[in-house]
Amino acid sequence: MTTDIHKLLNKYFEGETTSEEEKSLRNYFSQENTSEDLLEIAPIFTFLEDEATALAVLDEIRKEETTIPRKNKQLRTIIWTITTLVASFFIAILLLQRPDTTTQFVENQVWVNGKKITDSDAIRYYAEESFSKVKSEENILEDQLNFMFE
Amino acid sequence: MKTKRYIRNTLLLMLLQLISLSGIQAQENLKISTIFEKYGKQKGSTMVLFSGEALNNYKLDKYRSITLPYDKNTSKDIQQCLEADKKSARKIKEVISSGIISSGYYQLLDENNHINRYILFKIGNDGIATLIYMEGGKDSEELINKLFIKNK
Repeated sequence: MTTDIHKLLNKYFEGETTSEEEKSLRNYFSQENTSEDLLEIAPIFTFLEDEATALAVLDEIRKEETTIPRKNKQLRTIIWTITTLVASFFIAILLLQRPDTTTQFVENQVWVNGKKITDSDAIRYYAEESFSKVKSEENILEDQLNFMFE
Repeated sequence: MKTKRYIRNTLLLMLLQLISLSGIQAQENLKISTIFEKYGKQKGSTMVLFSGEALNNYKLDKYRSITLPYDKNTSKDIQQCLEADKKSARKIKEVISSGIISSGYYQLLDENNHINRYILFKIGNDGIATLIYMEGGKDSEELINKLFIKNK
């Protein structure tokens, strides 16, 4: 093994190693049982090993940086949309709950002198009576309308 | 920059929703609604709130009327409301005596909801004022016009 390492080292310093062989060297020097005569040159390979790890971590960080903002953007859009919808919903409720406008006209009813009547015949009677007041025989309005329509 | 775009989009969305809501609320947005609210349940007034199947024969969806003594206060309120609402009227027929509307017919078209809205008003000889609001589909116009043409 030691002989192999020495051969590889010679090859390395002559610049003839392949990437696989360099990887083997880095692996060897990353172990704790490195022979003492080689400890002097060990930092060259441990440094390279560390650099490779650092580059790998850096790559991962770069990848995360490109994916996280996209996720954040989508999340923010969803939050804004939901917030807008909820706000609009509450505004709608406030508008629709204006007192004495919408709700009171849902049910058929007549108010006579402040008293509420819900009898359908009475409602019809008072509706016809009010209509006839606007549309009476002596109605100036009717004459005006006749003139306009004819 | 992004925040500005979010705010702009949010405001646009809210605006669109409010516009659609205002369409739904069109029938309630007339000034005369305040007359019904203010005087409808008072002593001396008669207020009719009528809607549903019973009105189908008249091609109407909604009928509201109020009859009330026509005094100084009611006169001021009603005249102001009529003046405001008639600005959006498509057809106006009115009789003005001594500067005030003594009788009026106003047809308001709501393009968004495809409904016709009518306001009728008259001060009777007995000093009682009648204010009517009606709402119906497009086909209500012919019938309403017929009702106001005197048979000869």
